[in-house]
Parts: sequence; C-alpha cells; structure tokens
Amino acid sequence: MKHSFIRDTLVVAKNTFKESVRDKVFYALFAFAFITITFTLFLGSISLSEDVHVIRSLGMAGIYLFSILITVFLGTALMYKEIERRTLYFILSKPVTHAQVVVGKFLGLFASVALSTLGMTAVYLATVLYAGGGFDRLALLAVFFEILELGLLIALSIFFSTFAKPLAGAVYAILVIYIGHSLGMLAAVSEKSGVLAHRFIQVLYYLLPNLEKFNIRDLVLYNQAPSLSATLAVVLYAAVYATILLCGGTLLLKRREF
Amino acid sequence: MPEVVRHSSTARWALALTLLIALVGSQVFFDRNAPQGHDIPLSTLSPDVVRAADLGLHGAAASLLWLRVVQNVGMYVLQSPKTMSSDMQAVVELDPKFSYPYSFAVLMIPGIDRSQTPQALAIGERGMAENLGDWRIPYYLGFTYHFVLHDPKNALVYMTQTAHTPGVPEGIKVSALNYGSQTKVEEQTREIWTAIRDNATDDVTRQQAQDNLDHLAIIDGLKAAVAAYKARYGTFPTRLDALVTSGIIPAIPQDPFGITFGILHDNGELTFSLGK
Repeated sequence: MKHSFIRDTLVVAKNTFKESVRDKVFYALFAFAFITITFTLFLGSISLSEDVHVIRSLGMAGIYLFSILITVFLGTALMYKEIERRTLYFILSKPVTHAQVVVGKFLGLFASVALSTLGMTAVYLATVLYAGGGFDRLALLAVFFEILELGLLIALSIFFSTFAKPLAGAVYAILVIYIGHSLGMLAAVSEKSGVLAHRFIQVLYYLLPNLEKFNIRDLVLYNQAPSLSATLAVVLYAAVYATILLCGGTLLLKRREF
Repeated sequence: MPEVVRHSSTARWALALTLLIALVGSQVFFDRNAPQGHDIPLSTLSPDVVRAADLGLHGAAASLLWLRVVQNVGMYVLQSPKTMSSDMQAVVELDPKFSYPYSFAVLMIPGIDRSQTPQALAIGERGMAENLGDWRIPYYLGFTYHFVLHDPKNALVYMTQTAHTPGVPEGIKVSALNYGSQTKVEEQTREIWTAIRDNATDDVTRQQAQDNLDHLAIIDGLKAAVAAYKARYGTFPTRLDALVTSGIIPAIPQDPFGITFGILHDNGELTFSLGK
C-alpha cells in the first residue's frame, strides 16, 4: 500500500480527534461551559435592562476561557502521554515521520477543540436569541478569530508537551497566554523605560505570540468588524506562528531518545 | 489470614448521615460565628490592574463590575457613597463604549452623595466625548446642571444636544426642547423627572424618578397646607404637627428619602433634615 504524507497525517489526526473527544476532561469542561453560558441569562436579568449586553460580553468570555482550558489541558498532555505510554515507539515503527505525528496530533486536537468551541457558540447564540438579542452573526466572526488563536495555542501546547510534563506544560502555556495578552501594554510601558529595557521588550513583543491580535470580542460587542486586510493578516500570523511551533516541536521530538 | 471486617448496609447509611449532618452543622456554625462587616470593599481594584489581568476580556470585566455596582446601590448609600464614582469610573475605563454606565453615573451619584457631583459630570462628559448616540447621557447631564448645580445655562446646552440626538423618545425630546420655558424651577424639575420616569428602561431609575416626584408633591402639599393654616389662623404654625391637629391634613407624609420636615414660625418656610 502506498503511503502519502497527507493520508498518513490524517490517520494520526483522526485517532487524536477520537482520543481527545473521549477524554473526560473534554466533557467536564464542556458541561461547565454550557452551565456558565446559560447562567449569563440570570446575570443579564439583574443588570438593569442591559441584559443582551451582559449576556454577549460574558457569554463570549465564557466561550474563550473554556476553550483555552480545553486546549491547555488536552494539548499539554498529548505528546507526553504517547511518550510515557511508549505508544510513540509503535507509531514511529510504522512508515510515519516525526513531522507527520506532530502535524497529525495538531490537526486532530484542533478539530476537537474547534468542534467544542462551535458547540459552545451554538449554546451562546441560542442564549442571545432567547434573551431577545437576535441572531448574533458577528459573534461567529469573533469565534473564527478565537479558533485561530486556539490553533496557535494548540501548536504551543504540543511544542511544550514534547519536552515538559503536562503540569509544567500547562503552566508554561498559561504564562504565554497571559503574556501574549499583555504585550501591547508591556510595549507601551517600555516606551517610558530606558533604551535597553525598551529594546528588550521590543524583541519580546515581536517574538512572543501577540494574542490580542485575535481579540475582537469588544469590537463585536458594539457590532463592529475588523477590515478584510486585518483579518487576512491575522490568519497569516496564526498560520506562520503555528508552523514555526510545529517545526520546533518536530525537531525536539526527533532529538528525544526513545 | 486476617479477618475481613464487613459493615452492614445500615452502618454505612448511619455513617453517611452522620457525615452529612456534621457537614451542614459545621456550615451553620461557621455562618453564625463568621466575623461581620468584613466584606471586601468596592473600589479595591484599579482599572489598570483589571485590564492587565483579564486576558483582553475588558468588556466582560466591565459587565461584571457593572453588575456589582448595580447590585450594591443600597450599600453605596449606607456605607460608602464616595466609592460609587470611582467604581463607575472603572466600568467606563474598562469598556468605554458601554453607554448606560455614563448616564446612570450622572443621574445616581449626585443623588447618593452631592459632593461627588463633579466626578459624576466628568464621567458623563467623557461619555459625550465617546459619541455613543445615547440620549440619556446629555439629558441626565442637563438635568444635573439644572437640579443639582442650579446652572440653567449649561443645562440648556445639554438639553439642546438631547433634542438633537437621533432616536430620542418623543417625550424626552419635547421636555428637552421645552427646557427654560417654565417660569418656576420646581415645575421644570417636575417635568424632567416625569420624562425620566416615563422613559426609564430599568426599575432603579424609574423608582429614583418616582421618589423625586413624590418628594416634590409632598413639599407642594405641605406648602399649600401651611398657606391654608395662615389663612385660617392669621399666623404660621409653630410646628408641622399643628397642620394635623387643626385638621388641615390627616398626617405628615412620609418622605421617600427619609427627610424630616420642619417649619420656621416667622415666615412659614419649610426646613429639611435627615432622620428624626
């Protein structure tokens, strides 16, 4: 049987998808997300007639936070589990390359995280509709940006899982998420600092993932959308960054001794 | 071979029940002995700190803070009136496009603490600068200039802006355009409070407007009763109770803001004090 790069990668992706959607953490977090998003109906009712605003802002925040949790919990354990269980030996004994394993894992997890995010979005849209806010089509754009960010974070989590234990990987990922949303603020602060500190932060600003690029939730809240060129730039940024991380992850995996 | 101790099903149920009672009991005991008055005060976090820590979810952070503010209006009145302006400031710092907090701050803060009126106006003027197209912001600013600061010139500026805001309700538009047409300040105030009550989108604002209308009605009623007393006896009463004992009014009305009324015997003017 002939092997092709894409077909073999998709086999790994399919198995990773099945494995991740069977994970109990996945369902537990999804259930919490469901409760949280529907709970915004109550919060909206005590907001002095700002129901739809509160439901939309907190609902989109809920989707984001739970998607991040699912990504970090599943992503940081993904490669490590294969290494610990020695199943990676088995996979690599087949005509499958390290790159195919890493890319396949990425695609599989990306599909399951995107699926759960879309599931939460469906709950969110139904909640907004029920509250009288109509069909929040712009929220779909915010979710699209969010899925791009999740793709980058999945690549980051896989990168960490090639050398760190799940807990350490989760801590690293959360730190990067936190810093990634504060880079703009750090850059603004650095302008008031000395030249050396300013240059150092500038280097960090361009090297670390700038996750605020993916944050259009506050824009969407006021029925505004980014331009097409800005959207394309963000798609390109996510694709390039994820590719770099997956290449790095593949290299690190190759250098590990089994 | 060690003997395996087997517990009966009854023993297991008894143990579970005991643990459950202990759990609830400890909670009740804790609640009864918990230190009182140690709630986290509002205004503990600056908007900069929240902004740095909220993962870019500024809109959600503003919504949560907004919920906290509107659920604690009573606490601001009783415990910390000065913190309401800083909390409202934090809401609009986190989400500058969220329009209702601007107008809510302008209307509510001076009512809770007059000394915070400049801060309330600053919040409202920031809302105007954001150009959000919400008629409530200029209307409540105009009203605050009229009612709190007795500044009809600035009030007229904001009333004119209200009338030209797209989507302004008809009643508000008429009230804004009529501003200055009433010769008596009280009549003007009553007209604006009526328009606010009739166009309020939430119960707190509606109640605030109704309380003010009731307050004005009570003052009018007492003034009329004092005038009737003077007409009947040729002198002003020494105490307001005299209006009741003389049968002019059945009872001294209860003010919605807890204000106690008195009277100056020399000229019959009403005096106001908080509490008994």
